[in-house]
Amino acid sequence: MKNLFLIILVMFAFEGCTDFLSPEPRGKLTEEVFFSEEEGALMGINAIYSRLREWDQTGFPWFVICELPSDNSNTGSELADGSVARLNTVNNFTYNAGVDELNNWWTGNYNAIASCNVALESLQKLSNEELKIRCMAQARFFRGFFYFNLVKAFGGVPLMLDVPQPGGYNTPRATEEEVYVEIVNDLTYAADNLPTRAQWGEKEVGRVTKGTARGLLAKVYLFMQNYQRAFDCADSVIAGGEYDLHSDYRDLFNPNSLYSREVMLSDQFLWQENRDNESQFVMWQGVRGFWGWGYLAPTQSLVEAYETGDPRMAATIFFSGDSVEGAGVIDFAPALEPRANRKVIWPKSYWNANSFTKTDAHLYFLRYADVLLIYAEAANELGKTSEALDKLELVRARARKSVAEGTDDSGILPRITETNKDLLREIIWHERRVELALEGHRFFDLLRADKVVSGYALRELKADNPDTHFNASVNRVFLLPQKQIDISQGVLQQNP
Amino acid sequence: MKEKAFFLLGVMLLAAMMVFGQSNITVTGQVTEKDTGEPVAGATVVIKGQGIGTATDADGFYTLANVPPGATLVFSFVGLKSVEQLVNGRAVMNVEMEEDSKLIDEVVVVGYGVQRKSDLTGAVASIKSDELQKTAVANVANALQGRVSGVMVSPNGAPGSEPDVKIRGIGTTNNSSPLYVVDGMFVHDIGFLNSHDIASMEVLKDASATAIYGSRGANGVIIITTKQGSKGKPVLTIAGSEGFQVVAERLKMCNAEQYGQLLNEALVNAGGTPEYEHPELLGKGTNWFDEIFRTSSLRDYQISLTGGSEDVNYNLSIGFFQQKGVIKRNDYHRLTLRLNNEYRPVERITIGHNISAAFSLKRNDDPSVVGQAYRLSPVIRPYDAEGNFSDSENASTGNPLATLAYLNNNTRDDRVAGSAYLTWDIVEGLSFRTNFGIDYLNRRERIFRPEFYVSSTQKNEQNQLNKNWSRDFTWLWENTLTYDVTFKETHRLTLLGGITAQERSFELLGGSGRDLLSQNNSYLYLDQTSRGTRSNTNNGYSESIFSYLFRANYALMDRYLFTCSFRADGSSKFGPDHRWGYFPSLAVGWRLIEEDFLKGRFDWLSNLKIRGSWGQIGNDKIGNYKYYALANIDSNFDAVFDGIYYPGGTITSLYNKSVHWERSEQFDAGFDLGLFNNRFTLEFDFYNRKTKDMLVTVDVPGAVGLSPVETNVGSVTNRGIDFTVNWQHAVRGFNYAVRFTGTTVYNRVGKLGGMRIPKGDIGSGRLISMTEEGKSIGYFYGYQVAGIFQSQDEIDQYNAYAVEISGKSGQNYQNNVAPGDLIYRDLDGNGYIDDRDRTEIGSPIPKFIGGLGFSMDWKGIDLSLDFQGNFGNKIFNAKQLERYSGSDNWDRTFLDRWRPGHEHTGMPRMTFEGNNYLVSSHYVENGSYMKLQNLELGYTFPKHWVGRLHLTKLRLFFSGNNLFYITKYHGFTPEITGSSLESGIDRTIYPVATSCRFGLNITL
Repeated sequence: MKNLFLIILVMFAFEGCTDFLSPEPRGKLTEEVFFSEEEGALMGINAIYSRLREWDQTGFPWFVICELPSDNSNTGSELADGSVARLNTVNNFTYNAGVDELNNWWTGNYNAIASCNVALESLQKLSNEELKIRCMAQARFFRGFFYFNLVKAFGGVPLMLDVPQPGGYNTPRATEEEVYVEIVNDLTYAADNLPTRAQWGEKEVGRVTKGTARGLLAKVYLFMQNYQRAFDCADSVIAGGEYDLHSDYRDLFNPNSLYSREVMLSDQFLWQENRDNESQFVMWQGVRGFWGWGYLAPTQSLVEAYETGDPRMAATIFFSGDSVEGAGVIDFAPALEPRANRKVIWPKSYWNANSFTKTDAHLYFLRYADVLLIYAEAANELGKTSEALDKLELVRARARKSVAEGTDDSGILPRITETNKDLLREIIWHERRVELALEGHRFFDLLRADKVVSGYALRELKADNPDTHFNASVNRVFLLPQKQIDISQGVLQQNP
Repeated sequence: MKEKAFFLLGVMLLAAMMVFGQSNITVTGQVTEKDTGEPVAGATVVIKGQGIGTATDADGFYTLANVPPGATLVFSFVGLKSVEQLVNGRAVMNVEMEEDSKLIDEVVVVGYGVQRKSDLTGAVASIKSDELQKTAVANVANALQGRVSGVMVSPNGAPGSEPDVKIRGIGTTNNSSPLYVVDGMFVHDIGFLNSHDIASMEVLKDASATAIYGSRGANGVIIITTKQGSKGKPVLTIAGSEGFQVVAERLKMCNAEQYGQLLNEALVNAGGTPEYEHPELLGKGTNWFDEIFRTSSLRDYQISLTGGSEDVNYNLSIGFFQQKGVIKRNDYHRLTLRLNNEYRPVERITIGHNISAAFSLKRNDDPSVVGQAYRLSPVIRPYDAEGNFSDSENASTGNPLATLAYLNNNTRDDRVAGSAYLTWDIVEGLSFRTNFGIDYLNRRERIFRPEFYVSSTQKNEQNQLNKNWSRDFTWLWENTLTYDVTFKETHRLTLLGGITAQERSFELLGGSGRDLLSQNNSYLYLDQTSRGTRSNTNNGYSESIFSYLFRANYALMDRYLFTCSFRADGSSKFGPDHRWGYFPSLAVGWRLIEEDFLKGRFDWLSNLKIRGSWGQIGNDKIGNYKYYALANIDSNFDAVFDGIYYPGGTITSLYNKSVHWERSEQFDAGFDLGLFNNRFTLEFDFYNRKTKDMLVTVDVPGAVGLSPVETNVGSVTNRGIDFTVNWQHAVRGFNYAVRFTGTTVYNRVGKLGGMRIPKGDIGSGRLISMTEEGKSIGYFYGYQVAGIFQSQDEIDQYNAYAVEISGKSGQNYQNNVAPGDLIYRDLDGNGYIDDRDRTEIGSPIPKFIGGLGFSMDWKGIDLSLDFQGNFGNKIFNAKQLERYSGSDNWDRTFLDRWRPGHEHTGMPRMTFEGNNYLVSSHYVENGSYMKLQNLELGYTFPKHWVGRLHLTKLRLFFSGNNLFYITKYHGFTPEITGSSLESGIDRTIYPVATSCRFGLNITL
C-alpha cells in the first residue's frame, strides 16, 4: 500500500514541475528571443532584401504586371503551355480578376511590406541608436518601394504601416493619394537617413543608399506629375556623383556587372553551389525547347522602335538564328515568336551548374540611366530644355559608344536637339522605351504618359497590337485580385 | 462383433452396479462439437460440487473414475456452452457441446479496462481476428471498411499506405482521424501492426466510451488488443499466402488516332491549324497506363508460437508482409516481431509486456506518374529508335517511364512499440495497474536523383542525394486503480481512477549533397557528394500531456446501468492560460429484458437494452508552439551584399496566444435487440456530435502579409444513425451468418468565424472545394451548367439578354464562347456570368455508408462475401480540368464532345482552356459505388485426415479483394482519399488495386 502512495506521489510531483507542460520550443526561435538581439534585427533587414529575388517580385507576377501588358513584350512560349492563354488575356486586356498573378503581385508585395513592418517594430528595442536609424531607413525605403509597386498596379490599396493586430486585418483601401503620401514619407525618411554608397563601404555594396532612395523618390514624384520635386531628387542623385553610367550597354547586363556603379537597386539572386538555387527571374525566360520556359517575347514593334544602328537592339533582343557561345546557333521552333530577351541570355560559360536557369542575370529595379531620363523628363516639363537635352545625350552617348569594337558610331543615335516641349517629351518617352526595354518600366510609363498626353497609351499599344482591348479609363489600374475581394467580404471595393 | 458383445456386457454390468451397488463408477465418453461433429480437445469434465475432474484428449475422449452414480458432470470449454448432465449410473456419456454465441462477445475491451457487453452503456463495435486477415494490405485499419458501422474508411492504393479513417462523420476541418490505442499505448498510426497478431479491434464511437480519452477522443478511438498466450502446451501456427494485384482497366484514355482527332479539333476551335494531317494514320499509339502499371505480387507469412502454464503464458510471432505496387518499381515490405508474455511471479502480482518491433521498407512511391500517364500524348512512343526513353515533347509532363526508371527513393522505418505493465490485486476487488509504454520510430529516408537526360524539360544535370533521418519517441506512463465491488447481489460498482503522463519528442536530421562520383546504390552516402554542395537541416519538437482520469460504472439489479467519466488533460500545445481541458461524460442504460414484464415472457426475445449518453471530448491534433510567435530563419531570407550571403530572418506567420482544444459535444441514443436466442441481433444508434471551438485557419486578407494561424472559431455538427444487424444460424452442420452495417452522415458547418475556406487548388486560380457556414464540409463550389450553346444565334440571344438585364452595352453573357461551349446559370440575376454565380454543386460526403457480409461454412468449407458501398456522394473529376499543356491527352469521355453533326451531348466542344474548364457541375460525377470488397473461400481438412500429418489444423483458402466495383464514376476507382477540406477530388490517384491471394493456415 505504501508503494502505491509513493507512485501516486511521484506522479503528482511530476506534474508539479511546471516545465513538463511548458517545454521551450525546440529548434525554434521565438520572436522575443530573436529580436532581443542586435543580430536578429539585422537579420530582419536582410529578410527584406531577400524578397527581391522571390518569384512574386521577379517571376510571372512581375512579368504579368510590369512588363507583359506593354507594347514591348508578348507572352512568348506556345499555346500548348497551360499559362499562355491566361497571360495572353493580360497582354490584350481581356483578363479577369481571377488571374493568379494579380493575387501574387498583391500578396507578394504585402508579404514584403509585412517584413518591413516586423523589422520596424522589432527595431524599437534596439539600443544602438545609429544602427537603429540605419535599419529603419532601409526598412522604410523598402516599404515605400513595395507600396509603389502596389499603387502603380492597383491604385489605392490598404495601408498597413504596423504589424497588423487581430481585428485590424481587414482594412479598406486607402486612396491613391494617401498611398503616395506614405510612399513619399517613407522614401523621404530613407533619403534623409540612409548612408551614401561610400559611407556603407565596399563590403555592403548592394544595400540601398541615400542615392537609391532619392532616385526612387524622383520616380515617385514623376508618377505624381510633381516635376519640380522629381527634378530636385534626380538632380541630387546626379550631384552626389556616386552613380554613373556603365561604359557598355550590353555589358551592363553581364552577370558580373551586378555591382556596377549604374546599378542602384537589383534583385538579390546569386547562385551558390551549396544553395543550388534557380533564378526566379531567368528560369521562365530563355528559348522554349532549348532552355528556360521561353516566356517573354519582345515584340516586332519594339524591334522597329530602335533607331537604325542602335546597338541596344542587339543587346536587348535575341533573334531566332542568333547564336549563344557554347550552345551554337539557336533556331526557334516555327510556332514561336522568333525573339527572346537577350538581357538574360549569356554564353554557356556564364551558366552556373551548366544550367541556363541558374544564370546570375539580374533584374535592375532602378539604375542610373533611369534617373537621368527622369531628370530629362522633369527638366523638359519645367522648361529647362537644355538640361533635359544634356542628360538625354548622356544616355544616348553611352548607347552610341556601345557599338561593337572597331565599328564607326558616328552615324548612329544623333544628339537630340528638339526644343519643342511636347515633341521633346515624346522623344524622352521613346528613349525610356528603348533604353529600359524589358526591364519592367514601359507599361507603367505608358499609363503615366497617358495622364499627360491623353490617348498616348492606346496609340502606342495599338501600334503594337491593333486588336488590343486597352481602354485607358478602365485599364489605368489593374483589377484587384478576386481572391482578395472574396476574403475581404465586401471591405475591398473592386476597380471599375 | 466380439467387441460389441463385450461392450453390451459392460453396459449391463454397469447398469446392474448402478441399480444394485450404488458404488462409484468410471465414466468414459467423447465430447464433440454439435454443429461440426468435430471432437473437442482439452474440454474439462468435472464432478459438480467436488472439483474432481479431467480433460479430454486430442480426440475428445475422456475417462473419469470414481464418479458417484448420482452425480452431475459439468463439461466446459472456452467458447462453448457448458453442459451439465446427470450421470444417472451411465458409464458412457457422449456429449455434444454448442457454441456459445453469448459467451463470445461477452467481454468488450473499453478504455482502461474491460466490460461485460451487457453492461455497456456506450456505442462500441468489435471486430475479431479472422475478419482482420481478409484484407490484403499492410494497414489493418482497412479491415474496418464496411464491417463496423459508423466508420468510413477510404483506402489508398499505395503499398504500405495508411487509409483515411473517420468515425461518425467529419468531426473537424482539421485532422479528423481517430485515436489508436494498441494494448494501452497511444500511437499515431497502426502501420506497424501485423493483422495476424491482433485479437480484436474495438471501435469506441460515443462520448460514454471515448470521454475517458479526453482531449484525444473526439474523433473516436480504436482500441487494438493483440493476441496473448493461453494455458496449454506450445502451439505453433503457420499462416501464409501468395497473391497478385492488378489495376482494373476502368479508366481509358484516347488512343493516338482519337487523340489526333481531338487535338486537331481543339486547335481549330482555338483558332489554330490542325497538328496532324491524317490522324487516322496514327493508329493506337502508346497506352501509357499499360506502360506504368503491372501485375504485382503480394505475400504474407506469419509464424507464431503460443502457450502457457499456471505462472507464465507467452505468444511469440514473426511475420513478413510484402506488397509490390501496381505502379512499376514501387514496393513495400515489412518484417514484424512480437513478444506478448505475462508472468505471475508472486501471488496477486502480474507482470507482462506486449512488445512489437516492425522493420519496413518502402521504395519508389511516386503516384505522380499516374498523372503523367494520364496526360501524355499517346502519339509519343515510350522509347526512341535507339531504345532510349523518348522525349515527351511536353514541357509540363515527362515520360513517365523515365520518371519511374530514375526514381531511387526509399524509406526505412524501424519501429518498436509496446508496453510493460504490473498489476497488483491489493485486496479482493481493488487492483492497481501501472503501465509504461513506448512508441519509437526511427525513419531513414533516402532520395536519390541520378543524373539523366531525356529531354530539355525532363533532365537532371547533377545527381543529388537527400537523406532525412528522424527519431520520433513517445513514452506514456499510466497508473490506475480499479475497485470492483458487489453489494447484496444487486449493486455492482466499478470505480477507476488514474494519473497518466506522456511525452513525445521528435527530431529530424537531414542532409543533402550533389555531384556524386558513382551512382551505384552502395555509394549513396553524403560523404560521396561534392563538398561545396552539401547542406543540412535539423529541427524538432516536443509535446507533453498530463492527465487525471476517473470513471464509475454502476449496475443496479443488472438492469439499470450508469456510467460517468471525467478526464482532465493538460497539454503543452496550449498556452498557460488555456492549458487544462476537462472532459466529462454521463451515460445510462436500461436492460429491459431483465424486467419482469419481459423476462421469460417472449421466447423469441432474448435481449433488449436501451442506452443514452452525453459527453464532451477534445481533439488536440494540431501542431506545436501555436501560441508562440516564432521567427522564420530560412536560408531563403538571406541577403546578398558584395557577393556574399548574410543570414536573414523574419516573422512570416501570425500567432494565437489563446489557442485551445477543439471541444466536441456528443449525444448518443441507441438500443440493442436480440431475437431468437440472439440469432438475430441489432445494434442501433442515433448520434449527434457537435464540435465547438474548432480550429480554423481563416484566410486573412493578403494585405496582412503574414500567413494565418488557427483560431478556435468554428463549429460543425455531424448527425446520423448507425446500425449493425446480424443473423446467424446453423442448420445441420451448415452455419451461415449475415451482417449488415449502415451509417448515415449529415454534416453541417455551424460557425466558421464568418469565413469561407476555399480549397482544392487545381491551378490558374481555380478552387474546387468550399467550406462555409450552413453547408457541409468541403462541398464542391462552382458554376451550374445549363447546357451547351448550340449556335451563334443562341449566344447572341444570351448576350442580348445580358445587355438588357445589366444595362451595360456590350456586356456579354459569357466571354470568349462559341457554339459547343458550356452555358452557365446566371444565379445572381445580374444578367451575365461572373464569380458570384458559383454555388454548391455537390458534396463528397456519402449520405449512406453500408456493408453487407455473408459467411457460411459447411463440412470444413467456408465462404465469405463482403460487399461495401458508399452512396450519395459526389466526386469532382479534377484530372479532366488539370491540363498543364495543350498537348495533354484526353480520356475517352471526351470522344462524345459537341461538334457539328453531334449536338445532342453533354460534353462541350474541344478546347484547351477557358470557358469549359471552369469549376462547374459538368465535372461533378456521381461517386456512389458498391464493391465486392472481399471474397474468401476456404477448406479446412478434416481432423482425422490432418492427424495423419501430425497436424491439428490445415486450411487452404482463396481470398480476393476489391474484385469488382459497380459505379458510374469515370476513374480507376471511386475511392478517393483527401483531407476533410478538399476530399473527393480525383486528381489521378494511386489506384486501389484488385487483388487475389491463395494461402494456407497450419496449426501444429
